[in-house]
Amino acid sequence: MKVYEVLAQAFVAEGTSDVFGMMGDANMHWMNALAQRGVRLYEVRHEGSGLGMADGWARAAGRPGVVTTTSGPGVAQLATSMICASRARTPLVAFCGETPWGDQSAVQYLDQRRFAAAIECGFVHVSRPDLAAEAVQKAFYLARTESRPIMLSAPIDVQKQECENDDYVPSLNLLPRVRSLPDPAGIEAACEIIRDSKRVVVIAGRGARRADAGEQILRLQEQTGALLATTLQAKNWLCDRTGYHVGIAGLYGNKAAMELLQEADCVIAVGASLNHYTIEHGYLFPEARYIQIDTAPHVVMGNGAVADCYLQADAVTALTQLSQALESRSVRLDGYHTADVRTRLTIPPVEFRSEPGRLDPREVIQVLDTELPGEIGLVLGSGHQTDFGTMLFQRSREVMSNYGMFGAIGQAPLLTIGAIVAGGNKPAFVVEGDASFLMHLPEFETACRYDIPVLVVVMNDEALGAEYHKAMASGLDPELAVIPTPELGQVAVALGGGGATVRTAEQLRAALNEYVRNPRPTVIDVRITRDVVSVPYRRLLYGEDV
Amino acid sequence: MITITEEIAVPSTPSRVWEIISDPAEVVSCISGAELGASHEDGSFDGTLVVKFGAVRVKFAAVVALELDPETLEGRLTARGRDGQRATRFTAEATFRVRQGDGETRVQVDGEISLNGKLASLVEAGAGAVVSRMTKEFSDQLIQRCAPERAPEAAPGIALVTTTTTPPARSLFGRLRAWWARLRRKEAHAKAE
Repeated sequence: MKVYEVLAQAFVAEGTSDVFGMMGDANMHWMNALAQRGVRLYEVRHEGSGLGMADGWARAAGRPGVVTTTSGPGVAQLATSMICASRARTPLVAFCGETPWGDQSAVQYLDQRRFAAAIECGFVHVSRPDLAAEAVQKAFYLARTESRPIMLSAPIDVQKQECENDDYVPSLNLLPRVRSLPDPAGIEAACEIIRDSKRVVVIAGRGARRADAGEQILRLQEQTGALLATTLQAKNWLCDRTGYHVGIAGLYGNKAAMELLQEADCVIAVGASLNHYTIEHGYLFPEARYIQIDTAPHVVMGNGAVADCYLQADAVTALTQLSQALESRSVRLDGYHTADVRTRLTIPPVEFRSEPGRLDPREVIQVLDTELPGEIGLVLGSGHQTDFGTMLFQRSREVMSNYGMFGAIGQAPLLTIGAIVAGGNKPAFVVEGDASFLMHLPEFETACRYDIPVLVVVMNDEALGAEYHKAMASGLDPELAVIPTPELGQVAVALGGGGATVRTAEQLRAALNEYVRNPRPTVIDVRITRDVVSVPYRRLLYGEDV
Repeated sequence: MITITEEIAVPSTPSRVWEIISDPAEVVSCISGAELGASHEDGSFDGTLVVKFGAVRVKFAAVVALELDPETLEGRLTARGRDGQRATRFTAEATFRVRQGDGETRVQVDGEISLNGKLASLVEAGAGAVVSRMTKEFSDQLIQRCAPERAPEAAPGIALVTTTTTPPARSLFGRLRAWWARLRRKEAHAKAE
């Protein structure tokens, strides 16, 4: 058997079902072997885009995504998307071809090991035919256990050699399946902290959602009279289950939520690392003591400190034991659960500020939230426009955000395409800026080619929105950030999908209804005003108490 | 670095303005969220200030030193401290000059505030806007403090013949703190001589 076949077989044994990437001399044999084994190949228009899709796939599936490139230039294209995936702690394996082993004069030669290190990616080399299968196992093992991207680099001459086909042991078989139980002394300490508290906040993160600990969180919230907040990655989770949900903890919280959270004297974090975004470097909870439940051995929070009580445990088990312990000690708090707090959390109506032919971005978000059913997942993009959706989407649905993952624009549509593939081609929409969408425009054609039902809502202010508003605040010329765009609805149609350019709320509703009736690759180019500045920008750039 | 350059026109006499602006207790009362703490032997004193950056309330604690020159009506304030999370340090330096204007007193304030630490990235350009608003608020308060106290409305038929420049009444604690601060300044002045 050829090495590329052994490699392909090992990928299949690791559970690889979908591979994104571009074919070239150094990976085409391997791709051919994958296709023969039933793996679906998604040929993209740029290797970095393929990696973005594999990133989205992995985040949605909760297991390693796979991207492939040829040698040298193919690998070099991965840079930005790889760093994003690394910052997002996405488990991923990049199968990269390589020029013949040792031939540094080859035109496509690149020191791929050093390049991988520079783009924050682990590296495993296929240096001998007899170690090929072991290299695949190691790459997947590292991706799973370290939750990060790993580059598996295979010289083309090694790939074409013969080797034995031994029984392959998937990396999952090397991982123990154990539940981590909380230390009883830790449960005791947590009870004491809660007993001494008056205003408790529970922060649910991505880890709690993955552990499906919703019911246990709601029970603890009820026992402790707590406000429930989420991290950005768990946005809107459980918001339809309690009247004391304050949305995202951090800069994206509304004014009432920010004020209430600052009154907390106890924070219970579940599956949330409490990074500096969530706790605003500690400023959001100046008087609070922290209880943190996480499976990691240890976590340093975003204020540079460790929790007052850290419980290394599975979320469901720890929460169940904590609730039982509170009940047995008759600890029960009213905390925030008062009529006054409910009143404060009522969102006041907003007066929209449209201009002829351009919508208020807040109205756009409201229409999207109303018209798109909760089963349609959401991915939030980048730039100034993202703030509106991140703060204002209210409906409970699957939400993925790329905020804070290297700050690169253009990634969100790629993540969405990957996530849709992982979810069995269920429709999802992404809200993205015009510059971001245009950066990887050719991949909309990829979505059309594979009939991936992605809805791209382009919040089109015909500018680099973030730079426009920062220039305004800094006394620079904002017009330098203005870049006109063509009608992107027509562009989408030309690429083989559905499309519309809308300038009124009615036109937007009509275009959304068309997508809901017939989900297919679609772009809705929504023209928005630049006159509305988002709440986070008003806070950051102008110090406004809003 | 946040720069303050402000000229405040106060409709009062230079001596009255100097009386207010050279008294830490009076100055603190012009700044919303500020409190005066203990005085130290070297003439410096503790102070706290709560500032709202966006929706986040941050409490700073600082040691403040005040150098005053009553002859030229000039002063220099330095403050150095950090916030309650111990994540951000700040230094502030400001000079102020009181001089006679055209029918009013002009107070020229020039200063710089430097924030180092976690908060600096959190507040970005907004910190300058916050300081600007606080400066405006301080100016308004200073003008109010320096204004002559309004006399009680005259009863019908009785002529109003006097006005008063007595400073607004302070609490006993406030008066004690002001007395203590003045005493410390005198001591420091005597030592310097």
